[in-house]
Amino acid sequence: MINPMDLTGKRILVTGAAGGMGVETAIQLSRLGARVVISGRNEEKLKELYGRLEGIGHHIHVMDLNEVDTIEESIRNLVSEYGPFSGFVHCAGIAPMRPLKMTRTENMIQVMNANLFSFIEIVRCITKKGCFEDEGSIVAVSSTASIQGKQSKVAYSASKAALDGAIRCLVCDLKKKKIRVNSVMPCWVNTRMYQIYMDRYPDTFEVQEIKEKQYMGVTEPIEVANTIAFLISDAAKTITGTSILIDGGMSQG
Amino acid sequence: MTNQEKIALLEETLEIDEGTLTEDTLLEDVDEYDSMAKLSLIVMMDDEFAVKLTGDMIKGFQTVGDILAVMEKA
Repeated sequence: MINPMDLTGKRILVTGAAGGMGVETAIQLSRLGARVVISGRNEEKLKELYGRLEGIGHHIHVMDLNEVDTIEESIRNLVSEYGPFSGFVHCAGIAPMRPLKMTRTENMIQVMNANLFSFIEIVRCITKKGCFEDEGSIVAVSSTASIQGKQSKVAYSASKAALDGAIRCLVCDLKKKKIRVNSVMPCWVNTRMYQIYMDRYPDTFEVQEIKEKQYMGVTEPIEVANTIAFLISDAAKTITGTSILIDGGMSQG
Repeated sequence: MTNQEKIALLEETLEIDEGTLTEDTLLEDVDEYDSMAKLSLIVMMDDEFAVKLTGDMIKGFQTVGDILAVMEKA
């Protein structure tokens, strides 16, 4: 039997690993043979996840991405302790809903820090000489919000559109090292965030829209994890600078 | 914050003319109290009072007074 998505021996950093999408991604990468460094703010949740990873060579790294200035030292320490990485997956992010009239610059900065600035800063630091294997792969979790307008999501949509814009430039900047950079664009995924949303806004237009327009149903986190694993693996050896939609048909109307 | 000040904040949040609401106003009689207004209410409560409104709390609100009752610092 062959496994085109085999990740044996690859060291991969996963941010936002304690979140719904991050947990599933870290576990799936470990099942495919990767050595995973799981990163997030909540040490307890990371420890719980650590126990669920398969194989050996995994590590926990507590890091608060809101402190963008501390990322450089964090990455330097990680590389000196564990060696260079061959993959980086940015699952970290926040998805607040906030009406335009209540969206102030400080709210925008908070979202941009978590969803965009931290990602670019990690890429900047982790791709320095000796920190990342040539022909390695980077995947960011974007969203259909990058290409679709929604009420009360100015900051979130702007951050995801900026993320997708950034990956295409990062491809050019990292061309010599043959590092691939891609993103995945899920729509509604069955995570805790989705459950909270359903609880808070049960009768809104958006909830009706999910049921009608995401006609293939709500995406399970494992499907996003599998797409990320594919992009990290050598099965996607020449796929770079692209964003893969995982939206159950939502964006096609 | 006095009840009068809370009502003024609520009117501003819901974009309703000043002096329209009283403690006894039934929310079902307020045209502006739609799903977007509820989202504005959630955000305002979090920003101003650090109160996280749940779906059940919002469903439980019948009058303006019910909202005023939770407009206290968490």
